[in-house]
Amino acid sequence: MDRRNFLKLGGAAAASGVAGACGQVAKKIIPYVVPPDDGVNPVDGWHYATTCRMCGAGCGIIVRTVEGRAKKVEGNPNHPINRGGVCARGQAAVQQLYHPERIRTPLKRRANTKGTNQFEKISWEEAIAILADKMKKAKGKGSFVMASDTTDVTASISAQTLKKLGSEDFVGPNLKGLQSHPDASKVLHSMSSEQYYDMAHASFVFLLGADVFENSVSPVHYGWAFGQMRRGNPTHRGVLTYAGPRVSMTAAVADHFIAAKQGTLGILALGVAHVVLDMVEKERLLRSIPRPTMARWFKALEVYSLETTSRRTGVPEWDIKEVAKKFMTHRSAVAIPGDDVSCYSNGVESLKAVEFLNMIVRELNREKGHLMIPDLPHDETNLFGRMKDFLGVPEKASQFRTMRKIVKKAADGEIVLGMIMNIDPVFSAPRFLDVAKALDNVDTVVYFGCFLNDTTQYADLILPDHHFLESWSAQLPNYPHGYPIFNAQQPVVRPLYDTMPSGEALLKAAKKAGFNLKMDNQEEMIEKLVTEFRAEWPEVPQTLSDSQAWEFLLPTGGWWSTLRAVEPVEAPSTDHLWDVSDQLKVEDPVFSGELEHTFHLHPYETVTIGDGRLANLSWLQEMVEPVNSLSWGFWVEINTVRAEQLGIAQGDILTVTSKFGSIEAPAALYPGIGPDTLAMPFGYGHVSFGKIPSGQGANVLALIGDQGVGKTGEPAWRGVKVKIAKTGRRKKMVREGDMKGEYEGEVFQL
Amino acid sequence: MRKIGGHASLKPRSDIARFATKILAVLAVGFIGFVVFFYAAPFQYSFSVWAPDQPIAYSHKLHAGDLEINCQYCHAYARRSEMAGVPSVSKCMNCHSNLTIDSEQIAKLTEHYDQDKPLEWIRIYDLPDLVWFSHKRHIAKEIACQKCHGPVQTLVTNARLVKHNMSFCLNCHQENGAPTDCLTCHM
Repeated sequence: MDRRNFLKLGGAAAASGVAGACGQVAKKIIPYVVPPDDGVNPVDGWHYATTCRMCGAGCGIIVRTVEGRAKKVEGNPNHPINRGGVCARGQAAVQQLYHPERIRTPLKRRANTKGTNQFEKISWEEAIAILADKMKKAKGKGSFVMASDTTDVTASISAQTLKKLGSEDFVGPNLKGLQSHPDASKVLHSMSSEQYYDMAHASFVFLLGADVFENSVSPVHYGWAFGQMRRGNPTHRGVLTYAGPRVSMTAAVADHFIAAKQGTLGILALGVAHVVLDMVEKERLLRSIPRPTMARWFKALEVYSLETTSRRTGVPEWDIKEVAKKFMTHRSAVAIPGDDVSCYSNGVESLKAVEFLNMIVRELNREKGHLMIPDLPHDETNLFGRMKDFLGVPEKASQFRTMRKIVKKAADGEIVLGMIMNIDPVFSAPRFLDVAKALDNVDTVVYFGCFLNDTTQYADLILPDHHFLESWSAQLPNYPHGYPIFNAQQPVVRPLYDTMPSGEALLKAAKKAGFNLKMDNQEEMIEKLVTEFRAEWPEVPQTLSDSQAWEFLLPTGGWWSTLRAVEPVEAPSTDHLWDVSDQLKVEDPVFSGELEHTFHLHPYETVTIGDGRLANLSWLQEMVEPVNSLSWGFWVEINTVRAEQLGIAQGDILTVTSKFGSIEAPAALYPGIGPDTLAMPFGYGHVSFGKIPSGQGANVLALIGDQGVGKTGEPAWRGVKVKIAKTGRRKKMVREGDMKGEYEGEVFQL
Repeated sequence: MRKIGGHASLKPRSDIARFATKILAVLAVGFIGFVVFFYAAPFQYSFSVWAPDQPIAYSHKLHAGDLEINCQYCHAYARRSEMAGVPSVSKCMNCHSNLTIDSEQIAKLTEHYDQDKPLEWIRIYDLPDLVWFSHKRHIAKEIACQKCHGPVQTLVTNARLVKHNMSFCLNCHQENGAPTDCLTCHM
């Protein structure tokens, strides 16, 4: 090597050495200026118990926070509703908290922009002043509240404010109408709460169109109960039978699926009851029931003989007998009614029919000495009822009638102030109500919530709410699962933006408007509730002071009775319910549609985005619908064989038309649906709900007309018939695997 | 004419072979150079004491030495987690809202606090990602901070006094009968 080469090599080596050594950049440590209250644990983090508010179930959750940021949601293992479980929606709470589209400051509508989401930022002082001013003007002149949850402190404060405004128009979140259940139980059980069906302690469960693992009041709870039913008893594996027109996710895990015609499940229940009573008579059981009563029952059920029921429901006689036999032989059994019972024109009668079946079964269980099912809430001191009364939760909140009344009043120009709490009625109420037009007619619409959506297009003032992971609250779950439950909700992170809890904002405005609400802030209300009832909560040490009791409750997530967690309580006697024979009559369902409308429409809530209020979360959009394996989209499910006959392939865009409207959707071929049924998911077709859901799919509610469930005023949202037409276009659908292909590969070709 | 006993190496080499040799030589020398610079460079991977400029001229000598403030008053997470943590600005302000407020450095600190502007400290002790280390365990065994961080209480400016390489960890683990299994740290 000559000198020149040596120098060259030396230079190159030095350069590469320096480059290598300089590749490392000094790392920085950037601590908080002001850390969160409990300090920062940079690695292990802190865990906070709080309440999940992604739906109304009221599951207890534990959130892991690291350096003041919420990282992961887990179920609270001690909570009686979810028992440590948490669903995908709960997991997505973190994404909702850090969603980039959250409203960050109060907003005021720009002049003449109603119908769009155009706002200008204002300060909280100004916002509260505007609200207070509008409240003063609205006093005694007509106002309403639409709430996303009717069981928490915010609902209570808004109901009290509404009362001061001289109005009772408070409506809850179930705008598709689910009031039929309480109506039916009022008739049969003289109480207006929803039933709790103790699946966990049953050995045979008959689900009548009840998609309990998808959109029941708490899918997580039923998931746990199902596990208990299947494997909780060392000697007996629970049996599950599902009847309905579509194999849903719930039906897919049943031992036996019974395909029944739309709207005939009440008839099926009476048919089964008939066979059960025949067997009872033959084996001389149920001797405690007086003979005349028995005779009346037989007379009432005369028309529900095996052949008639089979003909009306489309269920083979053998299947009906099989179900009846299971009711007779199993240790404890229960029938659970779902949407497919209540959402047709004969909904209320059908629900009563199912409750009648349950009544006989309960007597049978009693006879067998195996009564395990506390399916009637058994709370002698009415503790839960008193707690609800104390919180001031409005009783008739989720009535669809109220919604109709509000819309009518608004259309007539009788409403001055509308307050909408974190709910999207323009999207989620049936189209025939035309909530948008009604809101347009209201003088001032104030929206409290975290996101701009279809409803905020008609709002004049937007008051951004804390996310539930940022705020204090307390909730008494609507559906106490056999226990009285008090859910405590605490913030797990500091509020990210310039937001305020809705209850707090309402209280401030009400105070400014001169209404005397007898409280200063939300916390005061929660503390009062604890102070009032803690003497009746034996789980809370009585030696603690009131504030200590509240601190004692926070890390556990709230209070619930441990009594019921240990052993099921025997259901009270149902003697007084026996005289129900005049209630037992289920007509065939009436469907709205012309002759050319040959398909039944089966709209349903998916386990992912539900009714659409979570449609802006990509985590949930990406999750596949469990039975048809589709994600990121909207579809119309059609029977595979029927589709072949009609020349429809997967992804062909179809026009679905009912008497009331028409929408387009790509076909999803699915073998688990009746040949005359089309299933479509709710929750799609938002107009202005951020980047992800806006313009995606269409809203099924456009196809549903104003046909009532009996005289309840609820819409029979499955009582619609439709027709389809091909558009000639096709959409490539996002699908996780291929059901049929995988099935063949794994099962048949090995 | 044919050379007798001709050896392959005596053949005139092709251009490609010559170029490849050069490249290899550059890489080899470069590698040696990298190793030398890696250990000699006045940076966080060097043997030498490293003291970068920090946003606030904080003195450990004053706080931990003269005033005898416990290390864990500021590094509060050392006993609770894997990281020791650097105190938040509000923790500094616990005392400095009242103490030595006329000093230039404290004025700077107050400015950060008032404007809600975080301080960006330069990290001087760092372990590669392949090492798992927990302060919490070492504190639980009552090992003094100085054992690994040197006489911090004498430092007027922040500096890294000790080089944390594998032999440093292993020596101490062996002396004290702590586990020396690979998975203790490399898990």
